[in-house]
Amino acid sequence: MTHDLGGGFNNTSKDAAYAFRAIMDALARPGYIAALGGLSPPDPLSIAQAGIALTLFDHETHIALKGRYGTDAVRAWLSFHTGTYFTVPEKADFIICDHDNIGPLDQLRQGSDEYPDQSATVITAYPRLSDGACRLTGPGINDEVMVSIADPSPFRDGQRSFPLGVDFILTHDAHLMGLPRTTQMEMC
Amino acid sequence: MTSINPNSMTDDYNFAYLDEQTKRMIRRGLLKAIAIPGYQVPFASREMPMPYGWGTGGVQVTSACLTPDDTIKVIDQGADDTTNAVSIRQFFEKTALVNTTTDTEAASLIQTRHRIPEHDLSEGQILVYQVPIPEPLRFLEPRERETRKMHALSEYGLMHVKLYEDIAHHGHIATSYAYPVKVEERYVMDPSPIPKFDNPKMANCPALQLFGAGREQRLYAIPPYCNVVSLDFEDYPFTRLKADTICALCAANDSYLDEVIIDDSGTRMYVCSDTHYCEDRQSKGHTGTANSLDDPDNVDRPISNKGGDNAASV
Repeated sequence: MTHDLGGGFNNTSKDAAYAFRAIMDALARPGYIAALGGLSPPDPLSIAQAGIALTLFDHETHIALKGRYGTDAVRAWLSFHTGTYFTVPEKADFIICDHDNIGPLDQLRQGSDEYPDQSATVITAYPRLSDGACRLTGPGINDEVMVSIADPSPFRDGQRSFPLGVDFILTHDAHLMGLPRTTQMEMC
Repeated sequence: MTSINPNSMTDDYNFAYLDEQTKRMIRRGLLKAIAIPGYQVPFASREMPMPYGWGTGGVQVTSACLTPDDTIKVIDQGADDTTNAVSIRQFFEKTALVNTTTDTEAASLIQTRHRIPEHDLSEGQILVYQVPIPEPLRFLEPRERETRKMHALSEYGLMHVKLYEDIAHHGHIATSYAYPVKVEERYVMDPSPIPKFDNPKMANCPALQLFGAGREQRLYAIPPYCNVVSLDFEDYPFTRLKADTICALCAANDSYLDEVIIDDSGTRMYVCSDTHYCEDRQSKGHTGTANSLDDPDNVDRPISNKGGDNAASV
């Protein structure tokens, strides 16, 4: 069976540069909703998930596809564009999943005391990214910001204490929002 | 010789010089650095077409962050027109075809060696520091394995002993640059050799601050609006330090001043280290003692390098 491998970056270098700035803005300013574009990935990958993948994945990364993302079409598309390796979530640098399928965080890589950077980043789809009832505070946030996260527990339960932890990028279509381990979440 | 079409320059160099795989590696490192403020992320620093000590770390970070829409400013000790700043600015003009500026407020990305601009930075700006020795504990403990363990355990007593010894020897904390800070109450971080005058500008800064050490192969970051505290003691609080005078060119009393020796008898002139800040003030009509040549007091003492006719009267 052949898969459609089109829909990647047109100009790898410049498109990845724009995409990275969107990703970095999102992680440096939690609650800020960044956007990237110019991609037509295979379902069910969103444009933002695909953009993050093509900007950050290569032969030095191991990634895990959970649930409905674990299709041959997605695997073939990511392999073709990035050359990345596939593995189980417990060993992955990046995990692509849905927000209700993140699974227990204590089973993901959270880094070590000496190297807390050797930890997983979860790239999850989220139904809606906008203003909402969840208050975020912490580094990158001027005072506080309110976002549309309905339940913080999947992102925080099982998270080891700082500096260890898992970082999240929430995506919806072409939009993305960063949720690093330093962000405190509180429902109001 | 063939003429060079500027639009085709990226055919000669990949955008912003570095290859894509290197940029991805640096980008992954930068994201983890942002997620763990003040923590030093190891990265596979590349050889750059400039010697170590000339900002190879900063250049790699800038290269990984740059987009074609950016306007960059490069400063070396506050100055836009010194060799290091000019060569790095031209490097990115040539390899990324980005716009450059000397105006702090107009720049979207500022690469700096050893200063933070005097103008307040704003949200969306990125400040990239060139870092020679990223490890604040390195001169106290030379072994990387040990310093890494000390960071893991938040074991920073040694740094306080060092500051205490400063007080014991000199009566005050004599460390005047690369003054250690604690980020988000966790990691002690070297702010690069900026004067401690600049330290308070790192705290709660709206801009994203990124640090690159090329030779030492480390990246670290301070996200916007971060808690950054200069280490001190209750009875010896942190103090800023600057020359106790005003700028001889623009009369600024709030900027960091460079001391310039201007003749063989050791006469000194103090001028703003931030050249853009100084020029901006002068263009708004502020004049210091050295460039108000209409002032009769100054006619016989031409201490500006624009001496002109007055130079003959020395």
